[in-house]
Amino acid sequence: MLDPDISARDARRHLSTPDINDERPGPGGWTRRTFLQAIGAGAFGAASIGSIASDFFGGGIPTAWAGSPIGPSDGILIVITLYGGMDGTNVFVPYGDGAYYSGRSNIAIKASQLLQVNGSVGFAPQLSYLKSLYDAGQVAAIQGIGYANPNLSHFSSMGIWMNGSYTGQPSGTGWIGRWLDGQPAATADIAAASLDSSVPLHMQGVIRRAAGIPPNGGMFGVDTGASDLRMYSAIRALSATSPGRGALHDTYTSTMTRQLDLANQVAPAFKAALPGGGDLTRKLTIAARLLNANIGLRVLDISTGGLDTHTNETNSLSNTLVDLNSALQAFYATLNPAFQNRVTLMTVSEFGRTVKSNDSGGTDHGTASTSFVIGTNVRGGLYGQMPSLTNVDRNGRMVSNVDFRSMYGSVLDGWMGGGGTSIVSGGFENLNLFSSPPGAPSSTVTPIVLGPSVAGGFVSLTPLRLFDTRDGNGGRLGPLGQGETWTFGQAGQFGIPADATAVAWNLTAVEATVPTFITVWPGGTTRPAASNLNPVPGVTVPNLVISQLGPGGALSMYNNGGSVHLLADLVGYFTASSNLRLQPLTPGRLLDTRDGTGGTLGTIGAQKTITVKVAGRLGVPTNVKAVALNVVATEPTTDSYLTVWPGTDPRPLASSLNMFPGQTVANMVLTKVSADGFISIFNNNGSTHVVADVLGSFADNAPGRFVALQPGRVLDTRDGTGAPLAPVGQDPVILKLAGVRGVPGSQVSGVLLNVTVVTPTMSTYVTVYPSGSERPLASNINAGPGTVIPNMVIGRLGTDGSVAIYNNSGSIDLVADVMGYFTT
Amino acid sequence: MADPSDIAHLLRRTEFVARQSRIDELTPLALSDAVENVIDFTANANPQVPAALQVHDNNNGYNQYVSAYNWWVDSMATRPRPFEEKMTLFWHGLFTSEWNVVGRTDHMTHQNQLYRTSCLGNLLTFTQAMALESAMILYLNNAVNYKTAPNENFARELMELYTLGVGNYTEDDVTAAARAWTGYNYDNTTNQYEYRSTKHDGDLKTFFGTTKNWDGPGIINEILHDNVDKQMITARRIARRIWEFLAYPGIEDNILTDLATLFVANNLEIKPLVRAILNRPEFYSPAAKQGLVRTPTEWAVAILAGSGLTSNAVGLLNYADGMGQTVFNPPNVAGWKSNSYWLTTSALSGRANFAKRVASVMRSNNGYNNLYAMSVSDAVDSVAKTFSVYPLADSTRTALMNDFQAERAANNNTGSVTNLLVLVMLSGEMNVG
Repeated sequence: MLDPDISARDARRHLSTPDINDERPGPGGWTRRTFLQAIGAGAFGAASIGSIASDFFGGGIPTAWAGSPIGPSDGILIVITLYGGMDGTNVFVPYGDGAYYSGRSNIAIKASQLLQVNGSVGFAPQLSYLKSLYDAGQVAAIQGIGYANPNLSHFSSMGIWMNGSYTGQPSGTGWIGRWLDGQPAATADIAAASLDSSVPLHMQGVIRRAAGIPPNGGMFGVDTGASDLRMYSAIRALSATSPGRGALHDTYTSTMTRQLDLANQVAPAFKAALPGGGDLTRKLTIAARLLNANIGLRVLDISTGGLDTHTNETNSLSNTLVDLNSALQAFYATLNPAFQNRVTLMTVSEFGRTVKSNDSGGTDHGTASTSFVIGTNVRGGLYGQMPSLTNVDRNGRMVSNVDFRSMYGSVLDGWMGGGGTSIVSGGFENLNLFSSPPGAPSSTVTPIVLGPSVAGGFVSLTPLRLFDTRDGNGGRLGPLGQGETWTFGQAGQFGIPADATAVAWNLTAVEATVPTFITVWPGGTTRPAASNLNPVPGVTVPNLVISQLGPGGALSMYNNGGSVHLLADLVGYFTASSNLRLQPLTPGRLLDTRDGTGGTLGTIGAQKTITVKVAGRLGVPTNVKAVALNVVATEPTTDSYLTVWPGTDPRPLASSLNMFPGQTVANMVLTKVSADGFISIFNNNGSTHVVADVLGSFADNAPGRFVALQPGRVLDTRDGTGAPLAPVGQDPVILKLAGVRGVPGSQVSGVLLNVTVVTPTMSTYVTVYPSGSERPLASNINAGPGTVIPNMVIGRLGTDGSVAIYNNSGSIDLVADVMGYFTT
Repeated sequence: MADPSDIAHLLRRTEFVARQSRIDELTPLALSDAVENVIDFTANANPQVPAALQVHDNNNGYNQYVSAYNWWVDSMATRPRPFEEKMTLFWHGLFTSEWNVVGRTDHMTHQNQLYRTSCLGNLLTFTQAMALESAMILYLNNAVNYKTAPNENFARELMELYTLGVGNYTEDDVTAAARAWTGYNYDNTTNQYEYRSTKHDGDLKTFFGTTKNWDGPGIINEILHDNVDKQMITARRIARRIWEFLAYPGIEDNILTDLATLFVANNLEIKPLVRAILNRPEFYSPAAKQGLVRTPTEWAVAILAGSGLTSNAVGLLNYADGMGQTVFNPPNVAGWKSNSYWLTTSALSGRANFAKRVASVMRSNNGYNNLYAMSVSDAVDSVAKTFSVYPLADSTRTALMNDFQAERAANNNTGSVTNLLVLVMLSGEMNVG
């Protein structure tokens, strides 16, 4: 309940204007008020300030005001302010320094988990997309950034960062505000904006201030009734003539008019649905839309809080970094490519944190940190030096070696048209952050990213073999090698229409030479930190894969180690034009050959087929067209596979599940249901018991349309992602999914997860069910000791927006990747 | 006999709104007698927090907060002597706590009542009581301030924001004060502040150069009483804050020195300080009359007072965040700022949306349709009187009359009334001064 310190949604508002109670002048003896008096615009004078008011107080030009498109060589800057003091040490990690592990053993990230840049530093594991941009040469990582004689107060330190001058600039102004002061009057009104209800200090100039855009839209002035339009005219009239009631009155009326102008300009950015997920993801999506509208914005300020990680840092910082990473993805996926080489993004925070962690798994206020400057024309690489973790200041805090004003000045001169020296009031070290000026062609290629897919209905197919690398079927003969990515295009083939948003495969790995993992993702985009299959030598491993399609209808597959063959069966696809939607069900047992549930008692022999009625059972409607099942083979006598397909159709050449003597194996299966409501199950060899739990049914007019997401890791108990860093016993893991990784905060009927059970201490099974509900008698994943077993799961969310994941015996680690979600 | 425009200014700054009945009541008096009338709260008859908001209802947490919000804002709009609520709001913005952090309405209303009963009382007594309010104990973490691992939060803000201001203490003083405040904890069983001697650091500490076994109240005594230098620094800071809340930002040094000297000479009694502020000629200067933007709460209270509507009837809380101010939830430990802080395009958009909502409720209550039958100038003047901003400046009045005329020409009864109500609420006269 309690915030350990200043809850950080706040520093941003605290810093919204100069501290009027501050009697102390700024470094140069100026206060905002004395400055205004000095330039003849006393803020409290009785006389009207007339036409000068709009210029001097940032007001609008009362009529015919409109933003204008920016020039082709005008740079755009997005400032991402991270309030609370970001622990740079756990974001851009100096893992090569032994003091990192000894100083913060309870929150240190394992070297193997890091996205390593070189032998000494690496990105936190959540920052996979940022790392891919870094690898593309588009990220400057400015290490050891800070300033001399650091201040440990949130307010004071953020004030110093936002003021952004060495000396002499009014304390009530900020560096972007002073840049804005220098912009031509005709374009200054829209040149800078904060996506916030208040306008922070760094956006406040001496004579101008940035516009404020409410983060949820809904600005006044977009209604178009005749009376509304007349009302707007009257509001404009109120600012057209000063009544002589003083400067504040005139500033008020001109700001109200400016708000009217702004309302219509920004309204389109809020019209389309916004992605779920975190604060930054939402705001950077809006930012990209605002830039696409080309209304003249050159600086956009966005922010989030929650970085003040005095306690339980592993969880809270991880959440912010997941948000930051997906925000950058969403930004580039939304941004008009024509603007890509005009935009630079920058992260700032008021300070870093202590080297040593405290007993509550957190860190306290520190000093030096890392800032990122991101963009196609940024000269990517390492800047500054990672501060020593042992050669620290007298308070035990890291010593900075790059002054933050060098970053500001370098961006102002290199990207924003100059003014660096006067704006930061001093000679700064030019960091040469840019490889080419704004608008110039970039020599680097921004990795392709996709936003969430359009919500689609399902089209279920009889399984169709797409490829088999063992026999060259599908165009590739030969296994995937270590670290190899293979991309398989499907556009215009296999009956997949052009408007398909996602496909469902049953993917099987065979003949792995070493234990490895396979990742599948939209073709051509950046490989996510996620996995779908965990093959080991001597075992045939299937798993259902549902993925958004990349350009050309392609999916990419990556093999991490050794070599491995892959074969895939297409079982369906999703498209907006299908009305077949999912009703997630509480898992229920359709078939158990051990006790006769479902009409078959006793094992299924070699080359035998059984049929199972699904329509009208366990909540499956009679008009069911397809079902999602978890199929389990148990007590098999020999190596074999099962094929699941609709009713009495001819059996396809496809496999749904592979089994091995004595093992219990589960796989999620999506299958069409015959017109009379049956499915068939075929066993190839030996004999086996089969259990099938229904997870959901697809029917016309059911609620759930599928929205595919970029695969994203939401749980990894090996590194503390999403849950404490500890093996999981018999207490269920409560995993929050609403509002996480692109899943909306509400109106979600189910989340498609790939859950992996890692190295159980004994044979066990795992059940995924809505948090807060009674655990059903069903299983999703069965795993033997020491194995790594994934399976796809449709997780229904409890009222707290979470799923519960229960482990039946021993202890396990759990990994979960979100693949998409179903709407309500 | 006072100048009616001075009385209107006095009332607007102290009572949220210059009701005509109060102008008529006070104008015959000498200005100093009018001030005495404003700062005498006898007519409020010891207002109490409603009983239902004094106990915590675990199943109804947010609804309790909504009720408390509406109760307090309505109190501001309806008390016979609203200055008591205005000063309560001042202290709430200085000795801050956030419901969002504290999470309990009972603690927030208990604190609110302390601020009400102490708002013109003795600053030393008040500060000592403030420090031990359960809301404060939770908000600034004295709840978990233990000898073994002192938490600096309260100790730092007590000096940085509540009393002395930055630059008047050292980091070592913060450390010592934090140790002095160890043990002033919170009992999760009784859900109240509780002193635990076992958690208190009874060792020697050096605070402002004096080494002894300091305790928490001793720190406040030192700042506000025993150390005369620190007492004067605090007196100046508090006097400036109250001046800038009531008059205008940027107090002149000679005024500040006069006020702080008087404040100290009166043993930090707040009432004489406020009396002195309201009697200063500078308080009635053009700079003062034009020197403050009404905060969203002050503006909304003036609207409620003028329309006779309740906070709940217009859903004020739904608009509060968008306008930038929600009482019981200051943005942070430093409270709210003033003037240009409120003049952002986003926050003014919030005001406009609220004005439109209020106009719609007023019109649907059918109390204003008679405007349509009036002459254009009478209609504009009537609404200006409703919201106590009569007379409007000529240019404002002209703009509103033109709009009303245009609506009439379009034969639009609804639009004419809605537009006129909204435009008066959004006029500069209603929002500034």
